[in-house]
Amino acid sequence: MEVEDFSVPGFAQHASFQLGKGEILGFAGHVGAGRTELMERLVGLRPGRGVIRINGKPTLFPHVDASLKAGIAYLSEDRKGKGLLLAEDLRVNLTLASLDKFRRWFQIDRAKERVALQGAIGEFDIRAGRKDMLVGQLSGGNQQKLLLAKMMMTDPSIIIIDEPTRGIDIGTKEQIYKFIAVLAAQGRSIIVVSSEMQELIGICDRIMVMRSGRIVGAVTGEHMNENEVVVLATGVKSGEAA
Amino acid sequence: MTDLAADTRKVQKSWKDIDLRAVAPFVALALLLMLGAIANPNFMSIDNLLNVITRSAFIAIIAVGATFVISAGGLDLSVGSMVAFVASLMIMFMNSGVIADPATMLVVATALAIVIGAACSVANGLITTAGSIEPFIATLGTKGIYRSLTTWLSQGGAITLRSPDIHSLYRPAYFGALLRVPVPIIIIIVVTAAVGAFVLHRTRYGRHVLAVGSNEDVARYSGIPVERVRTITYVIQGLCVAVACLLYVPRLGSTSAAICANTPTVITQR
Repeated sequence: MEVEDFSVPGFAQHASFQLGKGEILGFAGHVGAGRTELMERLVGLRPGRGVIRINGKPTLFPHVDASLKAGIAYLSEDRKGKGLLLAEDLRVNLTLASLDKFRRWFQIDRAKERVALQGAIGEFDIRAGRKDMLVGQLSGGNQQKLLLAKMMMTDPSIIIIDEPTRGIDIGTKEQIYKFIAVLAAQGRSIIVVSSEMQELIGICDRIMVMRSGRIVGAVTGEHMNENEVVVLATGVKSGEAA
Repeated sequence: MTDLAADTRKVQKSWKDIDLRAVAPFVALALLLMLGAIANPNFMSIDNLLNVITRSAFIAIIAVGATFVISAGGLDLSVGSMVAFVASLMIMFMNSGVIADPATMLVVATALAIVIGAACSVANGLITTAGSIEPFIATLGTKGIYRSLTTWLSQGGAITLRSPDIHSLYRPAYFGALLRVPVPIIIIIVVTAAVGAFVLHRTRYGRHVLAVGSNEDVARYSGIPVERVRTITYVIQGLCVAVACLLYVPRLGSTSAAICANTPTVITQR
């Protein structure tokens, strides 16, 4: 995927970057650098300009439905407010973004939904006391795993994860890193937006650094250390624009 | 740990899991029935109960539509005025005599009522979604508009179905019975079961409605076309209003600008 000259009024200007197949690309920067807003524009959640090329074909998504159909899934950083319906059970949440797959005539195939839930619970190690419990009663880590499972139901080739480990325990964090690595090994491309520098350095192949709505640099290989990233994020030194 | 938690919850399920808010309306209904039975022993007779249900059919059908609108986080205050407006246009059309054959006339008038109901509700839906005006304000406005149009159409008086042929043909829609069950009761069951329960709980669209009402942001982030889902709830409401009209007109064969003034309040008070 290539992203060319993306602008989100008030949040990001002229952002361009490339994402390879199976690559894990990190987005670092301070809170308010425009990372979330840029990603939300990519999947069609905000107004703004720019071009996305997937396999060379230029597009710009008008809404999330279009980006999901094109194989791009975005996991919001706000899992309680924008990711999951807290007052519904696991099954309803799991299939919400992929209900087309559970259609039988005019109905939703509940048996198929239950099978999918069983599969997701196993694959993503979601620990729920009861399958019909409300998602609001799950721990933060299990909610995050359910959100990942929900978006994976759409079978995306590009996954954008915003703050994947915010407010979850250390054991679940490690599990999430493992899931991300597995998804990348399957040939899916992944963008991780995070404010935790160590996390990005640990799991990413490459890190883009944003400051005040602009991509100010990229770090890879041996340059991928906290020092380089902080220097770019604070603007002490302006690196070569990617 | 999780097993233990699951076990305790299972034990509690019998009593504490009962949702009082879901049970409350039925308790209130039972109390009302008891009050009626005490006031007059004839109240609990089958004939009287059928009569009460038949007269409530009209409200029940509109309430099914309101369930969709409210579930998606909207509100429609204009339903009562919409009934008056649709019923007036329907009777005026049947009085116009453009179609001589009463049966054909009745079929066309029925179709017309449904189209007008849908058109009125599309207006409501688009004003609140595309126009992003609060549904309370928007439907309060359209309520006034539909009511005024009815007053104007009826010249401040009543509009009465003049053709006795059409009226006698149409009467069974309200007064008729199938296997001794009055037609309006059959229509309530069909509308509630088929439209209400099936669409809301079994279809993809119903799931979308509940998601939009539960959390609009989650719905949008999940790729659900929030505005379209909301607009369609208003259309369902309009179609329910039209069906209710079809039952209202044969009962008296007459309408005026004053009918159903309190309908939205009756329905939206939960």
